[in-house]
Amino acid sequence: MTEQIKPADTAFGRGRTPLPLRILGTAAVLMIVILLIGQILQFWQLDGKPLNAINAKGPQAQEIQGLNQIVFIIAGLVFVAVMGTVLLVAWKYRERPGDDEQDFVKQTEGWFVGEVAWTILPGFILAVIGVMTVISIQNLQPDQSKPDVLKVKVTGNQWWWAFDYDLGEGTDASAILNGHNGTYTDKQDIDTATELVIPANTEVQLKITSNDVIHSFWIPALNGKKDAVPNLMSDWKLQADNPGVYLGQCTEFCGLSHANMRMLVRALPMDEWLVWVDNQRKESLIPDPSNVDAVAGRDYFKSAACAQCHLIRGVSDDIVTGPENGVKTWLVSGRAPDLTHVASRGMFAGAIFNLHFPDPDPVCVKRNAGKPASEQDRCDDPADNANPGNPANPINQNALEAWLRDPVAEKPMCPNAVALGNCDPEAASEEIAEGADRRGRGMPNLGLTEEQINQLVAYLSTLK
Amino acid sequence: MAVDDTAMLALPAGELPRTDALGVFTRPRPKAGWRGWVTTVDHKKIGIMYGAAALFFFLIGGFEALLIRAQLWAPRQTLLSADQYNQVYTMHGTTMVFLVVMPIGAAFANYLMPLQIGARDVAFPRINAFSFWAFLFGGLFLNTSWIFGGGADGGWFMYAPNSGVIYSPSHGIDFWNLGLIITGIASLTGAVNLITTVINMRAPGMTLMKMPIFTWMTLVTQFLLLFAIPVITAAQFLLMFDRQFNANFFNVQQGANPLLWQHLFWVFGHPEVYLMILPAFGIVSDLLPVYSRKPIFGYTFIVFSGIAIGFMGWGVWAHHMFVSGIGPISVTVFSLTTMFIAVPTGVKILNWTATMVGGKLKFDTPMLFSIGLITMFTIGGLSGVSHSVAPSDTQQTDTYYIVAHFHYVLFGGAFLGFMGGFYFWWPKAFGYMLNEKVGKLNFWLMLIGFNLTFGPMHILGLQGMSRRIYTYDEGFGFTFWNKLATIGAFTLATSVGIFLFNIFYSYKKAKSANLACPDDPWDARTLEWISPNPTPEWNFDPIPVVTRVDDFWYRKYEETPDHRLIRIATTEEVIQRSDGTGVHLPSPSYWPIVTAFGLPIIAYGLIFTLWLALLGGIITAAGIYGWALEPPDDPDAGHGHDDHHQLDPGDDHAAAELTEGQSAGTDADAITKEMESVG
Repeated sequence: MTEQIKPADTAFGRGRTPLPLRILGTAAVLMIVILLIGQILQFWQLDGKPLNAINAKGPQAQEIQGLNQIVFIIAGLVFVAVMGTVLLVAWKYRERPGDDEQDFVKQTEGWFVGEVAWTILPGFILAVIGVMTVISIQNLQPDQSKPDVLKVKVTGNQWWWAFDYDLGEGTDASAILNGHNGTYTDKQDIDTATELVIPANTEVQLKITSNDVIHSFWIPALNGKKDAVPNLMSDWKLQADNPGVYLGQCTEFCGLSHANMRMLVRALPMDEWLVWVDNQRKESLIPDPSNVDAVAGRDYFKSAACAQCHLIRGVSDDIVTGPENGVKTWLVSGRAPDLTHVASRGMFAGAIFNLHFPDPDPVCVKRNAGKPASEQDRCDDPADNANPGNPANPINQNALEAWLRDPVAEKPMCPNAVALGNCDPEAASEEIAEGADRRGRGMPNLGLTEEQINQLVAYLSTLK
Repeated sequence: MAVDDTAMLALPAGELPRTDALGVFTRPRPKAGWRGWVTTVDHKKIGIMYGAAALFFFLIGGFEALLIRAQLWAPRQTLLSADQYNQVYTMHGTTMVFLVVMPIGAAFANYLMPLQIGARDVAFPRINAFSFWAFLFGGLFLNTSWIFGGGADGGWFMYAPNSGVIYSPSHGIDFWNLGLIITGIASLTGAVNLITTVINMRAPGMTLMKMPIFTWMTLVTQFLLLFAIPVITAAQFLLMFDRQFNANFFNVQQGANPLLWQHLFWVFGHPEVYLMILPAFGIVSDLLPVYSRKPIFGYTFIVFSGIAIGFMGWGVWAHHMFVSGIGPISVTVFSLTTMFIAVPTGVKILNWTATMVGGKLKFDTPMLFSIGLITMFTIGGLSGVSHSVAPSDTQQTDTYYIVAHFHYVLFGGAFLGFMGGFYFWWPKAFGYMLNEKVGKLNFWLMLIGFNLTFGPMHILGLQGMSRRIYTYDEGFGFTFWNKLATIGAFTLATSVGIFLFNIFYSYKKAKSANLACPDDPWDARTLEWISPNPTPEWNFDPIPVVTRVDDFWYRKYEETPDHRLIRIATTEEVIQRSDGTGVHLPSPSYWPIVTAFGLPIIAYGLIFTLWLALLGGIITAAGIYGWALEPPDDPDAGHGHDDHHQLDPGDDHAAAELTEGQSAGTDADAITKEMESVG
């Protein structure tokens, strides 16, 4: 009792696909293919952009990238095989016009041998990747007993990074690198912010933690990331093969200004690094009396709210920052960046603004070559935050002034919150007037006059 | 009024049980109009409401996605402030996971699973209604945060301690937390209900290994929910006590270890991923054989790989935490388990492909979406393998590479599967076909838009673009691919608009041209198609007796010795044409919606004033009280024009108890009916 199946029901739009839809379908497939090829091309083009995660500049990043490449190649082959098979099968076994729906293909329900084979084969491929992975995980573990390594504690704070160096006494490389004692507050140790300055070609072992929420420390060119978790010290390491500046970005969502929490690693040749260490160990410079603005700025810094959070050794020494040392500031993290040698850094405010003019971007210089001067791009634009400032260049006065004028407008922060309040400064100041605790996260607008701003900029610029 | 609890016990002695109301109200009667929807306990209506609510939330979540993409169109955009962006992306993720993908899975499970196993309803119809209303009220409650000071701003993963009051003083996180506790209650009661249904209410002859694969995947999914939801609910209670009552579970200043939250969250969160994708796998496994016109290849392997994914899904959670500071041994173990969960997933993909091999493929819209799932999910699966490699993951995690990965899994996987399911079962649920031409336009635009949106994110991630950043700088080179992704997102939105258009357009056309809905438009295989379209209220009459996998198909076709088929019956001959006379269905009830309604009021109370919580508690308690004491059935609620209910109230009462509490399959009426059909 066979039934003649009714022809495709055109009332519901079934039947042969009309030409425009066929064109759209073909275009879609083509476009996806082009998109994939475009992605692959972009992937292989190491464009020198500062956060590129496949642009390894140190042994740890190279370890990862080597493994990554193998995995990508295997995944790519599997992708081509599966995708090709699916599309080929779909094409080959399509129903053709005029086919009788009731003329049935052979009904197959499975093939045990095949099933077992394609269960085992991927398992085998994955086992190979697995072995390489296990070896790589071991290689990326810091060996705590290794000599000649720099030990640094990295602490995340909303929304900047603090770096505490555990150094040995003395001035030669071996004594400095091997004399670490597990504390970070000795006379010979260094406390800095935003920029991790390291000797090139030397392993740096990090202890990563946080003072408030969870952050993540990531310098893509040097190694993968490691979360900075409060109440937890995580071991990590990195190494730069060559001197240079390597940008990073906090990658664990850490609240309001997560996007504006960056950092950089400045790798120096060992001799330059030793000079840097020597300088960082000193107390802050006292400005020359002839620099009237700077002298006034120093006095103002000492007397004003600045000194309630920021440590400048020799000026605001009673600020003992960090929860481990007893919190004295009203900041939730208990800590604001140490400004003792702030002018020795290229960037500030979580490495999102240039404190100094950057060197001309080489890619930009290349692009400009041959163009008339009027058409050339500016290659050392201090507003280009992806091109980090060089401390040897002049100070980027505009950015620092804008910051002091209204920090919250420059970078979203919540400096005035009270215990259970919100980030609205007015509501907060009312509650504070009623005696509530301040629980700030970030730098408040201190309502400075233009004169005070000028004086502070003049003073901070001297803190080499 | 005292409860006479001897009545039921006295039954065997021949006494009549009482049929008057024990509770405050009698059970409601309406089956039509808005009151019919509000009081319904019919799994089909509840399934449709799940789907409609999920699509509503999908539009909200989609709008949030467009805001995100508009903000990232160019460097340093100021469409959204940092604070607004954090709220929008948090609510986008939360909405899409908890209020869209999970409930669409629940919509299919509710509507189809009882039909696929030959049951007349789920095991606990009132609990089913309660699950839906609790989900809806929880979801609406969550979204009312927008008018009470802003949405949650901690990310859908809500890591401690950033979720604490110090770091997020607004009430957004409270709304997130309490809203998801409510939807969690909904999922948990739903899981108990659906598991019981599959285990106990299959039609005669339908052994577990004869179930349609969608039903299998629903069973696995509901088991995952059963064990995963309590974990997140426990974590959310801890967070609630932290935020409301200063309990210090996650307060690092008091020495807490914030990784506790991460472990609890991901022990839930990873099975969650699989329970979002498995229903779509089930849908595709049921669709492909229909359009290939041959049985699913390796039924047993597809089923067991699904079960294997369900089990292995519990052993991979810490791959979300490779960089969190867990030790190298943990990293190694979770890296390896994560790699090997790719094996059962790969088995599925290869079996789907093998199903198509040698078939006669009909490219109707559901088939296009199914192939879309296979190919797009493959991309998501492979990028997944690339970050199961823990060292690689340290470069990839929390970048846009991950965003690309899970959208290829959840949109390219789950959602494309759901779209296929919508087109396939639309006539079953609504009695009219969605237009195929518009459907194909919908598919191709969605495929283009999807790939344009999420493809470039692979590159953005490898270029170092971090997730959850509200802005980026020109110098990082992210601009081009972000622009492409934004164009893609709006293309995707257009395709969703076309889907909505298709729903209304096809409805109008079917109405105006008075098109009859074909009963078996796709020449389908599974049991749900044995009843006419749209499914009558009683589902089956009589309850079918099942002899093999794809039972409906083999009522139409017989296999010849050379493994080909000949038609043995017309569609008209195999479709059930009965008026459901004498079929006894559970009566509607007011109490599920009342009980669920109290929950968001308790939650508002916990945020604003505890007096309100007391009021909500009273409403929910009253709902439970009324529920417990309402008559098990409306004495006059027998379906159709059968009058034997009035004649024999004792039998009626017993039958009602069985229908509601145990099994339609063993319902006295149904057994009689079955005897007739078998005989």
